[in-house]
Amino acid sequence: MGDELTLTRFETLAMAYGGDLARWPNAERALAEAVIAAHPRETGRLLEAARSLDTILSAAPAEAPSSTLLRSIIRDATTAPAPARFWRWLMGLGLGAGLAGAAAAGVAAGLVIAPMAVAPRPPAASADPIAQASTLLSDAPDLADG
Amino acid sequence: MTRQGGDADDELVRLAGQGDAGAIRALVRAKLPRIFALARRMLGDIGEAEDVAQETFVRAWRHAPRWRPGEARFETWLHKVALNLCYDTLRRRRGPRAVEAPDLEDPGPPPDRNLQARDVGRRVDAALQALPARQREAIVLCHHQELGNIEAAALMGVSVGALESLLGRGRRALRVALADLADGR
Repeated sequence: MGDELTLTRFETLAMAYGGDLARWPNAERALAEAVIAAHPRETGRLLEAARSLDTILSAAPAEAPSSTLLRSIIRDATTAPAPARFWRWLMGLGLGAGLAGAAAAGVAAGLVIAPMAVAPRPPAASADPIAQASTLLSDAPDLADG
Repeated sequence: MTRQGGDADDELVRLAGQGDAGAIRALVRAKLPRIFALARRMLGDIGEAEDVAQETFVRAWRHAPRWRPGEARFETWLHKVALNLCYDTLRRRRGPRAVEAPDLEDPGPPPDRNLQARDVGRRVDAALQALPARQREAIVLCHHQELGNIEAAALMGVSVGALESLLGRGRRALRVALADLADGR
Protein backbone atom coordinates (compact mmCIF):
# COMPACT_ATOMS: atom_id res chain seq x y z
CA MET A 1 0.00 0.00 0.00
CA GLY A 2 1.40 3.37 -1.00
CA ASP A 3 1.15 6.53 1.02
CA GLU A 4 -1.61 7.96 -1.13
CA LEU A 5 -5.19 7.04 -1.74
CA THR A 6 -6.72 7.87 -5.08
CA LEU A 7 -10.33 8.91 -5.40
CA THR A 8 -10.97 5.68 -7.26
CA ARG A 9 -9.60 3.65 -4.38
CA PHE A 10 -11.60 5.79 -1.96
CA GLU A 11 -14.77 4.96 -3.89
CA THR A 12 -13.89 1.26 -3.86
CA LEU A 13 -13.43 1.35 -0.08
CA ALA A 14 -16.65 3.29 0.48
CA MET A 15 -18.59 0.85 -1.64
CA ALA A 16 -17.05 -2.16 0.10
CA TYR A 17 -16.98 -1.09 3.74
CA GLY A 18 -19.63 1.61 3.87
CA GLY A 19 -19.70 5.21 4.95
CA ASP A 20 -18.26 4.81 8.42
CA LEU A 21 -14.48 5.11 8.31
CA ALA A 22 -14.25 3.09 11.52
CA ARG A 23 -15.18 0.05 9.44
CA TRP A 24 -12.45 0.66 6.89
CA PRO A 25 -9.10 -1.14 6.95
CA ASN A 26 -6.86 0.39 9.58
CA ALA A 27 -4.03 0.94 7.12
CA GLU A 28 -6.11 3.12 4.83
CA ARG A 29 -8.17 5.07 7.30
CA ALA A 30 -5.64 7.86 7.85
CA LEU A 31 -5.03 8.11 4.12
CA ALA A 32 -8.77 8.40 3.61
CA GLU A 33 -8.91 11.36 5.96
CA ALA A 34 -6.40 13.13 3.76
CA VAL A 35 -8.46 12.42 0.65
CA ILE A 36 -11.55 13.79 2.39
CA ALA A 37 -9.69 16.97 3.23
CA ALA A 38 -8.46 17.32 -0.34
CA HIS A 39 -11.73 16.41 -2.07
CA PRO A 40 -14.56 17.21 0.34
CA ARG A 41 -17.32 17.39 -2.23
CA GLU A 42 -16.62 14.14 -4.07
CA THR A 43 -15.81 12.16 -0.96
CA GLY A 44 -18.82 13.60 0.84
CA ARG A 45 -21.08 12.39 -1.93
CA LEU A 46 -19.53 8.94 -1.89
CA LEU A 47 -19.74 8.62 1.88
CA GLU A 48 -23.31 9.86 1.99
CA ALA A 49 -24.42 7.27 -0.55
CA ALA A 50 -22.62 4.55 1.38
CA ARG A 51 -24.09 5.69 4.71
CA SER A 52 -27.56 5.62 3.25
CA LEU A 53 -27.22 1.92 2.49
CA ASP A 54 -25.55 1.29 5.87
CA THR A 55 -28.55 2.82 7.59
CA ILE A 56 -31.00 0.64 5.72
CA LEU A 57 -29.00 -2.52 6.37
CA SER A 58 -28.74 -1.69 10.06
CA ALA A 59 -32.44 -0.96 10.24
CA ALA A 60 -33.09 -4.68 9.81
CA PRO A 61 -32.42 -5.94 13.33
CA ALA A 62 -31.21 -9.44 13.97
CA GLU A 63 -33.85 -11.72 15.36
CA ALA A 64 -33.01 -13.15 18.73
CA PRO A 65 -32.79 -16.93 19.00
CA SER A 66 -35.76 -18.44 20.75
CA SER A 67 -35.49 -19.42 24.38
CA THR A 68 -36.50 -22.90 23.27
CA LEU A 69 -33.43 -23.14 21.07
CA LEU A 70 -31.18 -21.78 23.80
CA ARG A 71 -32.51 -24.24 26.37
CA SER A 72 -32.29 -27.11 23.89
CA ILE A 73 -28.62 -26.46 23.11
CA ILE A 74 -27.73 -26.19 26.80
CA ARG A 75 -29.75 -29.28 27.68
CA ASP A 76 -28.13 -31.36 24.94
CA ALA A 77 -24.67 -30.32 26.10
CA THR A 78 -25.22 -30.83 29.80
CA THR A 79 -27.09 -34.12 29.63
CA ALA A 80 -24.66 -36.03 27.45
CA PRO A 81 -25.06 -39.81 27.55
CA ALA A 82 -23.08 -41.45 30.30
CA PRO A 83 -20.36 -43.05 28.12
CA ALA A 84 -19.31 -39.75 26.63
CA ARG A 85 -19.23 -38.04 30.01
CA PHE A 86 -17.26 -40.97 31.38
CA TRP A 87 -14.57 -40.57 28.73
CA ARG A 88 -14.45 -36.83 29.25
CA TRP A 89 -14.08 -37.34 32.97
CA LEU A 90 -11.42 -39.92 32.38
CA MET A 91 -9.46 -37.62 30.11
CA GLY A 92 -9.79 -34.84 32.64
CA LEU A 93 -8.09 -37.01 35.24
CA GLY A 94 -5.40 -38.07 32.80
CA LEU A 95 -6.36 -41.68 33.28
CA GLY A 96 -7.08 -42.35 29.66
CA ALA A 97 -3.56 -43.61 29.13
CA GLY A 98 -3.83 -45.90 32.14
CA LEU A 99 -7.05 -47.43 30.97
CA ALA A 100 -5.72 -47.90 27.47
CA GLY A 101 -2.74 -49.66 29.03
CA ALA A 102 -5.06 -51.87 31.04
CA ALA A 103 -6.93 -52.69 27.86
CA ALA A 104 -3.67 -53.65 26.20
CA ALA A 105 -2.87 -55.85 29.21
CA GLY A 106 -6.26 -57.48 28.81
CA VAL A 107 -5.46 -58.27 25.19
CA ALA A 108 -2.17 -59.80 26.28
CA ALA A 109 -3.94 -61.88 28.93
CA GLY A 110 -6.37 -63.06 26.30
CA LEU A 111 -3.46 -64.29 24.26
CA VAL A 112 -2.29 -66.41 27.18
CA ILE A 113 -5.70 -67.70 28.23
CA ALA A 114 -7.07 -68.48 24.83
CA PRO A 115 -4.15 -69.28 22.55
CA MET A 116 -6.36 -71.24 20.21
CA ALA A 117 -8.85 -68.47 19.71
CA VAL A 118 -8.90 -66.32 16.61
CA ALA A 119 -5.60 -64.52 16.58
CA PRO A 120 -6.02 -60.94 17.75
CA ARG A 121 -4.62 -58.14 15.67
CA PRO A 122 -1.09 -57.29 16.73
CA PRO A 123 -0.91 -53.95 18.45
CA ALA A 124 -0.12 -51.17 16.05
CA ALA A 125 3.47 -50.06 16.24
CA SER A 126 2.46 -46.43 16.54
CA ALA A 127 -0.32 -47.01 19.04
CA ASP A 128 -0.48 -44.09 21.42
CA PRO A 129 -2.78 -44.58 24.41
CA ILE A 130 -3.65 -40.91 24.53
CA ALA A 131 -4.44 -40.86 20.84
CA GLN A 132 -6.57 -43.99 21.31
CA ALA A 133 -8.47 -42.37 24.12
CA SER A 134 -8.92 -39.27 21.99
CA THR A 135 -10.28 -41.42 19.20
CA LEU A 136 -12.74 -42.98 21.58
CA LEU A 137 -13.66 -39.54 22.76
CA SER A 138 -14.28 -38.31 19.25
CA ASP A 139 -16.45 -41.35 18.57
CA ALA A 140 -18.59 -40.75 21.63
CA PRO A 141 -22.27 -41.22 20.78
CA ASP A 142 -23.44 -37.77 21.74
CA LEU A 143 -20.75 -36.09 19.77
CA ALA A 144 -21.35 -37.61 16.38
CA ASP A 145 -20.09 -35.61 13.47
CA GLY A 146 -22.74 -34.19 11.21
CA MET B 1 -11.67 -2.43 12.30
CA THR B 2 -10.17 -5.05 14.50
CA ARG B 3 -11.74 -7.25 17.09
CA GLN B 4 -9.73 -8.34 20.06
CA GLY B 5 -8.56 -11.91 20.58
CA GLY B 6 -10.54 -14.63 22.21
CA ASP B 7 -8.60 -14.93 25.47
CA ALA B 8 -11.78 -14.39 27.44
CA ASP B 9 -13.32 -17.43 25.78
CA ASP B 10 -10.41 -19.81 26.18
CA GLU B 11 -11.01 -20.59 29.83
CA LEU B 12 -14.73 -21.10 29.25
CA VAL B 13 -13.99 -23.43 26.34
CA ARG B 14 -11.56 -25.42 28.49
CA LEU B 15 -14.14 -25.80 31.23
CA ALA B 16 -16.88 -26.64 28.72
CA GLY B 17 -14.60 -29.35 27.36
CA GLN B 18 -14.62 -30.87 30.83
CA GLY B 19 -18.40 -30.81 30.87
CA ASP B 20 -18.72 -27.80 33.17
CA ALA B 21 -22.41 -26.85 32.94
CA GLY B 22 -21.82 -23.26 34.00
CA ALA B 23 -19.23 -22.71 31.27
CA ILE B 24 -21.49 -24.34 28.69
CA ARG B 25 -24.38 -22.08 29.66
CA ALA B 26 -22.15 -19.00 29.57
CA LEU B 27 -20.79 -19.84 26.12
CA VAL B 28 -24.22 -20.55 24.68
CA ARG B 29 -25.69 -17.34 26.08
CA ALA B 30 -22.75 -15.30 24.78
CA LYS B 31 -22.35 -16.86 21.34
CA LEU B 32 -25.74 -18.16 20.26
CA PRO B 33 -27.25 -14.77 19.30
CA ARG B 34 -24.44 -13.98 16.86
CA ILE B 35 -24.27 -17.48 15.42
CA PHE B 36 -28.04 -17.62 15.00
CA ALA B 37 -28.07 -14.17 13.36
CA LEU B 38 -25.32 -15.26 10.97
CA ALA B 39 -27.24 -18.38 9.94
CA ARG B 40 -30.54 -16.53 9.77
CA ARG B 41 -29.15 -13.93 7.39
CA MET B 42 -27.27 -16.46 5.31
CA LEU B 43 -30.26 -18.77 4.93
CA GLY B 44 -33.28 -16.50 5.27
CA ASP B 45 -35.12 -19.23 7.13
CA ILE B 46 -35.58 -19.45 10.89
CA GLY B 47 -35.94 -23.22 11.06
CA GLU B 48 -32.81 -23.87 9.03
CA ALA B 49 -30.93 -21.25 11.02
CA GLU B 50 -31.92 -22.98 14.25
CA ASP B 51 -30.68 -26.31 12.88
CA VAL B 52 -27.36 -24.74 11.91
CA ALA B 53 -26.96 -23.06 15.29
CA GLN B 54 -27.74 -26.27 17.16
CA GLU B 55 -25.31 -28.33 15.10
CA THR B 56 -22.62 -25.67 15.43
CA PHE B 57 -22.72 -26.05 19.19
CA VAL B 58 -22.80 -29.85 19.02
CA ARG B 59 -19.53 -29.63 17.11
CA ALA B 60 -18.20 -27.06 19.54
CA TRP B 61 -18.70 -29.41 22.50
CA ARG B 62 -17.06 -32.22 20.61
CA HIS B 63 -14.08 -30.03 19.77
CA ALA B 64 -13.80 -28.25 23.11
CA PRO B 65 -11.68 -30.91 24.90
CA ARG B 66 -9.06 -30.52 22.17
CA TRP B 67 -9.25 -26.72 21.93
CA ARG B 68 -5.81 -25.13 21.84
CA PRO B 69 -5.81 -21.59 23.24
CA GLY B 70 -4.04 -19.02 21.13
CA GLU B 71 -4.44 -20.80 17.80
CA ALA B 72 -7.63 -19.00 16.85
CA ARG B 73 -10.46 -17.07 18.39
CA PHE B 74 -13.20 -19.43 19.51
CA GLU B 75 -15.82 -17.15 18.01
CA THR B 76 -14.03 -17.15 14.65
CA TRP B 77 -13.99 -20.94 14.78
CA LEU B 78 -17.72 -20.97 15.53
CA HIS B 79 -18.33 -18.69 12.57
CA LYS B 80 -16.40 -21.04 10.30
CA VAL B 81 -18.35 -24.08 11.44
CA ALA B 82 -21.66 -22.24 11.09
CA LEU B 83 -20.78 -20.99 7.61
CA ASN B 84 -19.85 -24.48 6.46
CA LEU B 85 -23.17 -25.76 7.77
CA CYS B 86 -24.99 -22.91 6.01
CA TYR B 87 -23.40 -23.90 2.72
CA ASP B 88 -24.31 -27.54 3.34
CA THR B 89 -27.90 -26.38 3.79
CA LEU B 90 -27.81 -24.25 0.66
CA ARG B 91 -26.43 -27.18 -1.34
CA ARG B 92 -29.21 -29.43 -0.08
CA ARG B 93 -31.84 -27.09 -1.41
CA ARG B 94 -33.10 -27.98 -4.84
CA GLY B 95 -32.35 -24.92 -6.91
CA PRO B 96 -32.21 -21.37 -5.67
CA ARG B 97 -34.88 -20.53 -3.17
CA ALA B 98 -37.41 -18.13 -4.58
CA VAL B 99 -37.28 -14.67 -3.14
CA GLU B 100 -40.55 -13.84 -1.50
CA ALA B 101 -41.95 -11.58 -4.15
CA PRO B 102 -44.82 -10.16 -2.10
CA ASP B 103 -42.32 -8.39 0.11
CA LEU B 104 -40.77 -6.76 -2.92
CA GLU B 105 -44.00 -5.83 -4.63
CA ASP B 106 -45.79 -3.96 -1.94
CA PRO B 107 -48.91 -2.55 -3.56
CA GLY B 108 -49.13 0.18 -0.93
CA PRO B 109 -48.29 3.86 -1.25
CA PRO B 110 -45.14 5.06 -3.03
CA PRO B 111 -41.62 5.13 -1.55
CA ASP B 112 -42.07 7.99 0.86
CA ARG B 113 -44.41 5.91 3.00
CA ASN B 114 -43.51 5.25 6.58
CA LEU B 115 -42.24 1.75 6.61
CA GLN B 116 -42.27 -0.05 9.88
CA ALA B 117 -38.97 -1.52 11.03
CA ARG B 118 -40.40 -4.97 10.45
CA ASP B 119 -41.17 -4.12 6.84
CA VAL B 120 -37.70 -2.74 6.30
CA GLY B 121 -36.32 -5.90 7.80
CA ARG B 122 -38.29 -8.04 5.41
CA ARG B 123 -37.19 -5.97 2.45
CA VAL B 124 -33.54 -6.12 3.45
CA ASP B 125 -33.79 -9.83 4.11
CA ALA B 126 -35.38 -10.48 0.73
CA ALA B 127 -32.72 -8.38 -1.01
CA LEU B 128 -29.96 -10.21 0.85
CA GLN B 129 -31.39 -13.59 -0.09
CA ALA B 130 -31.50 -12.53 -3.73
CA LEU B 131 -27.73 -11.98 -3.75
CA PRO B 132 -25.27 -14.69 -4.77
CA ALA B 133 -24.31 -16.54 -1.60
CA ARG B 134 -20.70 -15.35 -1.56
CA GLN B 135 -21.72 -11.69 -1.84
CA ARG B 136 -24.29 -12.24 0.91
CA GLU B 137 -21.67 -13.93 3.08
CA ALA B 138 -19.24 -11.03 2.65
CA ILE B 139 -21.85 -8.44 3.58
CA VAL B 140 -23.18 -10.41 6.53
CA LEU B 141 -19.68 -10.98 7.92
CA CYS B 142 -18.43 -7.42 7.47
CA HIS B 143 -21.55 -5.35 8.02
CA HIS B 144 -23.78 -7.36 10.33
CA GLN B 145 -21.26 -9.51 12.20
CA GLU B 146 -18.80 -6.59 12.22
CA LEU B 147 -15.76 -8.71 11.52
CA GLY B 148 -12.60 -7.02 10.31
CA ASN B 149 -11.66 -7.41 6.66
CA ILE B 150 -8.72 -9.72 7.36
CA GLU B 151 -10.77 -12.02 9.59
CA ALA B 152 -13.68 -12.07 7.14
CA ALA B 153 -11.42 -12.79 4.18
CA ALA B 154 -9.72 -15.60 6.08
CA LEU B 155 -13.07 -17.12 7.00
CA MET B 156 -14.14 -17.03 3.37
CA GLY B 157 -10.81 -18.34 2.12
CA VAL B 158 -10.25 -15.37 -0.19
CA SER B 159 -7.86 -12.44 -0.40
CA VAL B 160 -8.82 -9.07 1.05
CA GLY B 161 -9.04 -7.75 -2.51
CA ALA B 162 -11.49 -10.48 -3.45
CA LEU B 163 -13.50 -9.74 -0.32
CA GLU B 164 -13.71 -6.07 -1.31
CA SER B 165 -14.89 -7.05 -4.76
CA LEU B 166 -17.63 -9.27 -3.30
CA LEU B 167 -18.65 -6.51 -0.89
CA GLY B 168 -18.74 -3.89 -3.62
CA ARG B 169 -20.82 -5.98 -6.00
CA GLY B 170 -23.17 -7.03 -3.24
CA ARG B 171 -23.69 -3.53 -1.93
CA ARG B 172 -24.31 -2.17 -5.44
CA ALA B 173 -27.01 -4.76 -5.97
CA LEU B 174 -28.55 -3.97 -2.58
CA ARG B 175 -28.50 -0.27 -3.34
CA VAL B 176 -30.51 -0.89 -6.51
CA ALA B 177 -32.91 -3.31 -4.83
CA LEU B 178 -33.53 -0.98 -1.90
CA ALA B 179 -33.35 2.33 -3.73
CA ASP B 180 -36.89 3.32 -2.80
CA LEU B 181 -36.09 2.93 0.89
CA ALA B 182 -33.09 5.22 0.54
CA ASP B 183 -35.17 7.79 -1.32
CA GLY B 184 -37.77 7.76 1.41
CA ARG B 185 -35.29 8.65 4.13
